[in-house]
Amino acid sequence: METLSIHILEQTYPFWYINEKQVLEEQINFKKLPSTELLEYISFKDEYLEEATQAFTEFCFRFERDIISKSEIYCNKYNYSEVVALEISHCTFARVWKYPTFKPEKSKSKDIDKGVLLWMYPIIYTQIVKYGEQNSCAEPTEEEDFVIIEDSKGLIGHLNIDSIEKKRELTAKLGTIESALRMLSFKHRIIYFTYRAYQRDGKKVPRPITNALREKLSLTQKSINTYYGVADKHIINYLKILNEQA
Amino acid sequence: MSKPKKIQKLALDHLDDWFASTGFLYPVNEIQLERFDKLYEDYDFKLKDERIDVNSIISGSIKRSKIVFPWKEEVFEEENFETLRMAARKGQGEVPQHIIDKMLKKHNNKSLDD
Repeated sequence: METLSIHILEQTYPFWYINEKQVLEEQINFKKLPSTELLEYISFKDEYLEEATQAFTEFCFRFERDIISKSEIYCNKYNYSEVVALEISHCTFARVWKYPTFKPEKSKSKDIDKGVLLWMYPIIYTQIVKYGEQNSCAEPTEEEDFVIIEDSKGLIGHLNIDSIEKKRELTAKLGTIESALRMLSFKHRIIYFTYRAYQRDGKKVPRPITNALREKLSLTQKSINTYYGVADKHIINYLKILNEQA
Repeated sequence: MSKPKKIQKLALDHLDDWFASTGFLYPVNEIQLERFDKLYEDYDFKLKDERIDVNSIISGSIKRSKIVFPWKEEVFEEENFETLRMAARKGQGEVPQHIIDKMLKKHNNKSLDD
C-alpha cells in the first residue's frame, strides 16, 4: 500500500532531497500532530488504513480519560452502570472513527482540544439517549443526533470566562438541583432530561425517541407526557420556593 | 471542603446552563465545561483505570453487555408522587405551607449532610 507519508514529505521537502529509502523509513509522529490533523488522517482510512489506525490510536489516547469520565457521570445521572458507561465511551469513539467530521472553523473553543471535546459530548449524549434500542452502537438519524443539531447552531457568542464560580458555589448549585430531583423517580428524570436536551436546541423530541422512551420505561405516551409535566412543574416550583427563601 | 450555603439560588432563566454545568445535560460552551470539570475534579471515578479498546472499534467488534434498564423495578413512593401531582396541578401558589416547610427542612438537612 502506498504510504501517506510520501505525500506529506513531498509537501515539506523538494522531491530530490529524499530518496525512496528515506521516505520508507520516515515515520509520522502522530503524538506531535494537532488533533485536527489526527482527524484528517482518520478520514483517509479507506485509502490509508495503517496511518488512520495510528492517528485514531493517538486520538483515543488523547481524549479517552475525559470522555470515559464524562460518560460515567452522564450514565450515573440516568442510573446506568459503569459497564454501560464504558460501552457508551467506546460507541462515542466508534462514531468518531466512522464520522471524523469536526470542523475547526465551528469550534466552540480557541483551544482546539477543548473544541474537539465540546464536539464529542453531544455524541456521548446521543448514544445515551438511544442506548438500548439495539445491541450495538446507536446510529442516530439527523433529527435525533445532537451533534448535527448543535452544529446547525454555529458558534456560541461571547464567553465571560471571569464569571466562573468557585467550587463551593458550584457544589451548592449541584446540591440544589439534586434536591429538586430527589422527589422524582428515574423515569421522571430520564423523560425530563431527554425532552430538555432536545428542547434546549429548540427542537421537538423526535418521534423515534419518544417511541424508545415508551418501550424502555414501559409507559404509554400519555403517561410520558404526564411524567414530563409533573417533573417540569415540580422542578420549577421547587426552585421558585427555594429562591424566595434564599 | 467548607460547607456550602444552605440554599443556593438557581435562576430559572439559566436552568439549562446549570443542568449542562452539573452533568445532567452536556456542556455546549467553555464556561459550562470549566464548571463541570471543576465540580467533578475530585470525583471517585470507577472507570479511572479503563482504556478504550481501539482494535475493537476498528474491527467493529465492540463488546456489548446484556441491556438492562435499572429503573424497571424502581419503587416509587406514592406519597411523593401525590405531593408532586398536587403541586403540578395547582401551581406553586397553592402548595400548602406545611409541604413547603417539609421541603425546606429536607433540603437544609441534606445540604448539611453533604
